[in-house]
Amino acid sequence: MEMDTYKLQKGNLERFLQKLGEKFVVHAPVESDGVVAFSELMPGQESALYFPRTHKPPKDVFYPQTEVMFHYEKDITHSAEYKGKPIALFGARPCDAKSFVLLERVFIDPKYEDPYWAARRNNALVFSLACNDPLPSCFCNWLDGGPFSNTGSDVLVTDIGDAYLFEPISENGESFLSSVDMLKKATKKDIEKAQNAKERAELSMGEPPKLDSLKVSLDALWDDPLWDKVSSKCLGCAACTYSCPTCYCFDIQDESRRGKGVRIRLWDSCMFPLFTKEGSGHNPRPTRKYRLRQRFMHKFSYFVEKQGEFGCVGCGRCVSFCPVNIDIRNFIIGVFQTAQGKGGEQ
Amino acid sequence: MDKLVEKIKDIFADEKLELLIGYTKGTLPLRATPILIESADDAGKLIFDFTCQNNLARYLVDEKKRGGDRRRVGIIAKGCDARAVVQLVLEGQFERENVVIIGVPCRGVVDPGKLRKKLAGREIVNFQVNGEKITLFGNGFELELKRSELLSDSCLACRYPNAVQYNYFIGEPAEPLGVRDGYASVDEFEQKSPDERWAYFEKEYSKCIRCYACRNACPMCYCEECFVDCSTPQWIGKGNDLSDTIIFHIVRVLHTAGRCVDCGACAAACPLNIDIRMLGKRVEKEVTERFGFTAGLDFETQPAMAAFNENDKEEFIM
Repeated sequence: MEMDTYKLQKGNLERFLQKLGEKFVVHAPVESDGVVAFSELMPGQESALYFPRTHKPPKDVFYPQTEVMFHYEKDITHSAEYKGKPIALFGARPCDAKSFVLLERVFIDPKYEDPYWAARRNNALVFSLACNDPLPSCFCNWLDGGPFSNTGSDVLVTDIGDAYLFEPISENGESFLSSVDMLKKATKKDIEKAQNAKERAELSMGEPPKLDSLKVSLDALWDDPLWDKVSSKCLGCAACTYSCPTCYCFDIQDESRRGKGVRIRLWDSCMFPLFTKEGSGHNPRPTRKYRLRQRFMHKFSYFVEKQGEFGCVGCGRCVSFCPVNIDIRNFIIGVFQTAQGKGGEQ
Repeated sequence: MDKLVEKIKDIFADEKLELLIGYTKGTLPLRATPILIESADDAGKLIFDFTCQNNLARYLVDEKKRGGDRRRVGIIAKGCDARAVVQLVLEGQFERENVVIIGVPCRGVVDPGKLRKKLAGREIVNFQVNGEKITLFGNGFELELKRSELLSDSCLACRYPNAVQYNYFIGEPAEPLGVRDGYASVDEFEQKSPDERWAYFEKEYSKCIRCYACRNACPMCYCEECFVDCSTPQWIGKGNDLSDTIIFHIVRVLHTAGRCVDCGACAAACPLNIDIRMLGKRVEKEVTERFGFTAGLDFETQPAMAAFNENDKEEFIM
């Protein structure tokens, strides 16, 4: 079914978001003291749509860093699943929108459904905002994404100067857009503008390297000295993991006092020594080399094996935030070079 | 730069180094990255300039963990790196005879967090330095700044831009920038009411995501097991509850009291630009005033927290 593309004058954005707020809890990028992150948009509050890439990824909208699973008192438990209105995410970038598809594969497995993720994610609408100006550290186009990719979006929004174009991607997106009176049908000229912006943005990112053989190359380098080299300067912090839209590992903790308490789950990081430390005291990943290998292998080998694609969307946050400039793009190139150099030995 | 490379090659041979910790060009403009080289043949990769922000002394602690395999190490050291090395040696973390300190003059280093703040989400592809001015070039924009606007706060108030203790010194010693007095920012902050100060810390630390980049970038945070990682017993909650987060930061500051060399590595490592330095600087001031001790200046003076002197001020004891 061919769906119409709509247009909204920028001046009407606030009214549109109000309308969206009637049915949904609206989360959008908001600036607070220099940090831009997704949070619930309060009436009259301005969203930071101008910001190219939020400091924090939007995964915490559906998967909060700390989440109460249930409260308990002696032997009675009270569930704490999200019971609010459905969530609308406005202004996620295409890389971040794609991250929801990847996370969904983990949280909504054919056999197991994570009720906490599902409670927030079900009936949610994702309005992603196309990137007219990808950043130098962006590399979504290496990973089957792009600045105008619509994977994971219900509506793809494009800034065409004085207005936004709203292109419905899913039926949920279309059914919401068609219910909003203030949206006009986009003209041919509007769509052309968006098309030009797309071409410009894609061109600005350059030709990506082909990653088809990355998994095979990586698997062959399991014991390679490459890992010593890459990990030698790693600090072992979680700046990469916690800024990553697709890292999903968590820990579960009980916080209790005198028979009362909460069970919480919280983001964890494979970069931390405690991550795999066993009760006996043995740690199968005793040094940073093993931990860093786990992070990279998970994204570019294990995730491919289990889910059929890379567990990275190329948002570039880890590139920007790593305190010692471990650049995952360089790592990928390094893997190919090392694999090539080893070609004769295999 | 060639001079640095040539000198390092000589030192590598003369000192029979097995490892050299230095900086090389990073993948982003204005970002150098640490490099650990095992052969003089790789010396050509080394650089030193105002983008070399990380405190390299931190890697000595990694070397120590190799136990019997540990190597003879050379380290390129700004004033603060060298002070951290001295402090590590004093604390018995590394043998003096196994580390060759190669001092380099530092005229301040870029704080990546400040750079990000100035760029408000944009990124640059290039830059040009012209005396005290720096021009940043991005896709479709240009931004001219004073160089000092990008330098770490620690550098602006730094009194020891050159290694005080060293085996070699390459280049002409630098003058302190003297943009700010040592404790000016702390003194100013102390004028505020307790409520205002609390509001400030609450605002800053509520941004914390507990990634521990600050701790892990710190050369003085070398505990085998950090108290926040300990699970038996578990000292603090692991979620991002503000009280737990603040306890982490307060304990870290108390733990580095009299040991912190104010290199600014913690603040520079923070992905969210939290003002981590304020508390630490306040504690440093306390140590200086009370015990007349400055960390990392010589190999003889016992650190303030490890020494007792009957002349120590004790007016706080009833």
